[in-house]
Amino acid sequence: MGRRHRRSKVTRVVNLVKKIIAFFFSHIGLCALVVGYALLGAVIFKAVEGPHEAEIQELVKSAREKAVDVVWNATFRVNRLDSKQWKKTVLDEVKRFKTVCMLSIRKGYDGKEYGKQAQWTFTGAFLYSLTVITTIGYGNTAAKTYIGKTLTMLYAIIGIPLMLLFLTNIGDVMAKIFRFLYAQSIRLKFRLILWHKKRKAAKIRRANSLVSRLTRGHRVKADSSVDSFGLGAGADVEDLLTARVEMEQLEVRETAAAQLESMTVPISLVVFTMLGYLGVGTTIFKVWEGWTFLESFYFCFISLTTIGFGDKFPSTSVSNTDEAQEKLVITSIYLLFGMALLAMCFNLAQEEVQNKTRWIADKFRSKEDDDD
Amino acid sequence: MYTHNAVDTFDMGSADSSLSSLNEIPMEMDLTSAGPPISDDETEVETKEKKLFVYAKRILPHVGLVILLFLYLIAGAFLFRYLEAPKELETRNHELTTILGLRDEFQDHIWNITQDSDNRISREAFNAINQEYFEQLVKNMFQAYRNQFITAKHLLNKTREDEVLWTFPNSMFFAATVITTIGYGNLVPITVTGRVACIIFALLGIPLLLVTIADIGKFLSEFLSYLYRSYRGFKRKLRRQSKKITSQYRSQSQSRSSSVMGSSKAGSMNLHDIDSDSEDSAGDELRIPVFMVLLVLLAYTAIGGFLFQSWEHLEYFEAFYFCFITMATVGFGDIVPNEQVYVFFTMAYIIFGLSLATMCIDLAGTEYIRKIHYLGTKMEDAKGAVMTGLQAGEHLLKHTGIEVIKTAGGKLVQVRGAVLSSKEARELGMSYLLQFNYQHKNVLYEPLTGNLAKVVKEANIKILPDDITEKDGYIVQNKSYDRPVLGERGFVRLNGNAIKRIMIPLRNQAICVPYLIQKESDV
Repeated sequence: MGRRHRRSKVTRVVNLVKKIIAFFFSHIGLCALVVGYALLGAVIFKAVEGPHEAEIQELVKSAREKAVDVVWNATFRVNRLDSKQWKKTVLDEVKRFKTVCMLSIRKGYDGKEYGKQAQWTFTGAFLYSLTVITTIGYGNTAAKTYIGKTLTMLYAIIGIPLMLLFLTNIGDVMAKIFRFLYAQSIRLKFRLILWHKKRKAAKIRRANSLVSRLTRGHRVKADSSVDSFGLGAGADVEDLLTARVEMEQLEVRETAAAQLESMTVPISLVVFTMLGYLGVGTTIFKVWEGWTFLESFYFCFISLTTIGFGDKFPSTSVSNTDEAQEKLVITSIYLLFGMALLAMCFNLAQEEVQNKTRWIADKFRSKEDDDD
Repeated sequence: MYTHNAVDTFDMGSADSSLSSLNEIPMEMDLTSAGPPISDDETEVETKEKKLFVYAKRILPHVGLVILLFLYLIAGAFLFRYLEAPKELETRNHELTTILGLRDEFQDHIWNITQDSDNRISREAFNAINQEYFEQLVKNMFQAYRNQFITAKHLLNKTREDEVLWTFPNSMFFAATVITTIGYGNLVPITVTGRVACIIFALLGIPLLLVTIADIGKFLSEFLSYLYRSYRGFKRKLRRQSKKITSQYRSQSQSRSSSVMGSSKAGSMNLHDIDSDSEDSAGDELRIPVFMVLLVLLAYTAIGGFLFQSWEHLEYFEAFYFCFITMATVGFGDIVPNEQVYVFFTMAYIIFGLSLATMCIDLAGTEYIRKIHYLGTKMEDAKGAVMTGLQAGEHLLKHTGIEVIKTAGGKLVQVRGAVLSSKEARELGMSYLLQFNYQHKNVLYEPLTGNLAKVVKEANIKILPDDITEKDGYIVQNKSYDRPVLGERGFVRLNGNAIKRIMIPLRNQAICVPYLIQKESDV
């Protein structure tokens, strides 16, 4: 009894662990895992890089105040009547300030005012985490401290495979959904055609009954030989029309069945879907940021292909207002969903491309055999 | 061969015990090395020719693909340079003029205030003017720096006038970062035509690079497997040689001691043969461990760190960080290579590194990802299959009172004393019938098949007698199940408390056994 009880308990624990693993690597669990990982990254990077940003901003501010003091002293306390000496002093001070400013820019200063605007807000850090694990990497926001860079590398080592897994999984699911919707649309289309043809058949049948009634009335009045000939002709025409309509219906059903069996979504539809998504993004960013159409499309394309130059970036005049934070969140969602959509498109197009490649290879091989 | 050596050693030992040890060793070495060289030479020549042919056939497509990629990059470099270079000069001059204009305006403004001696300006007003000027200066400097057209050199008047960023090496580097999706952002197209060209270039170039990298990655994967196999073979040969030398020394000592030890020598030879056989079988398995794959990636990044440390005069950590961000194709652009001379080496490093990463994913990563995903899927499938089978079995048991169940692995389990007649079997639609003289002994102790064991283990199905209890539905346990109970004249005596092992049906009757999985109450 003890041995059996212990075995059942161990087995139950093992089953529980297996169920947990299955859940986390199922679709919903994987989405939650990716979002949770990005949120974790946001917390970490904000804690690490936020103080450094404040430090740099304060450095620039103090340098500017010092420059103002020097110019004040040169203007009103030192010999102000000597134009050449005064101009030299001012130029030297401006040059020194430029040097300090350039050094700060290299260290991560972004031209924002101390205490008023900041890059490393929670949503800014969240977007940074997302650009790391999706390998977009705009570079507008980048880790500058030693610890920040180390954490970025560790974060990428774990996050990039997780992102690949997420895209593979979600791509599969979305491809199935897309294929299902496509099949449903095909069924609807052929059902509509079938209904149309049935109505046509009914109309023909009604016309046939009318003709037969007229023929019957006519037969009562006329002589037998003419009646028999006319009736035969009418019957033949009716049968031909009915058979033709039924044949058409059968052809429609067979065509629908054939297309449903193949179940390959055409590449043009896949490309159209992707262009549609890019169009939506273009419209959003055009309205928000005041960019031209080409600039918005350029940003969306560069982002979804994970090139990520960073020359165009949403909220470049970013502030801590709620509206700007909301834009960053929507941008993050757009990128995440867009990459999943891209994975879906690759998944759908892959079969078609493989079939065409195989066809080309067979053709090439047959041509080679002919040459031999 | 070993037998021959043993016989020779034995004869020499017994005949001439006065031979010196120096004479014996060279003679044996000659005997052992006499045969193999001839056959080795013949096979070596043949394999050399075959290897050359295989290499030539294998390498040509890869080289063609790499050349195509290189030509595409060169075309892109020319295109972007042609489109963007004029705009660069224009923009840079504009920005420099703006910054210098700000400075001159500031000077004139302050001087005018100073010269106007009638009005004494207050400190606060003066501070406001200066604050405004310096803010404008900072903003313009940052914008210029962001565009990468103006650096500290330009602002400090230390550079030549005609120096441009869109040189041919830089344009080619930009093209490479586009199609690898790294995208540093240090150089970006600004003109409308430049951006359109960039989109089209990326649309065509990214698939081309993916195909090339996958191809090179596969080639590297095969090459590494070949190297690993050669290493294993060499190791095995070395071990065999050392074992042979050891056995020779042992043989000499044994021959000196006495001639009675011949049987033990034969035994030791057999052991050597067994060892070599086991080593051969072990060597056939080719499993490159994940640790080695990760080590390759880490080593490549570390080597890159050293290279860029010397080329670009960075700290080692900065260089390592740059290499990692590049290999992951994140490409922030906060650290970018600046030396013109090393641009082509940088591009080669990047493309080779991405191929290496593809190879590593191909060897180890994909398998683990697929395994994890498969685990999740398998849980659902196994559970569904088991539930379906068990429910069907339960249904049949409840409604038909079948006596015997055949498990998925083909094992027979008797449930109760009912025996189906041929009529009842036909009604149930069962196609499997036991023959008249069929006997099955100790059914439940036979080893389970692989598939059945897997299903049983995963779904916690109880098959063995020790696992079955009275609570488990239709199975009844009895301690005396090893002893069959037979009535007179061969009839099966019905006993509700026993699990029968031998079934001898009545004459003119057959027992129908459904193919079902035994009911499991816990599921």
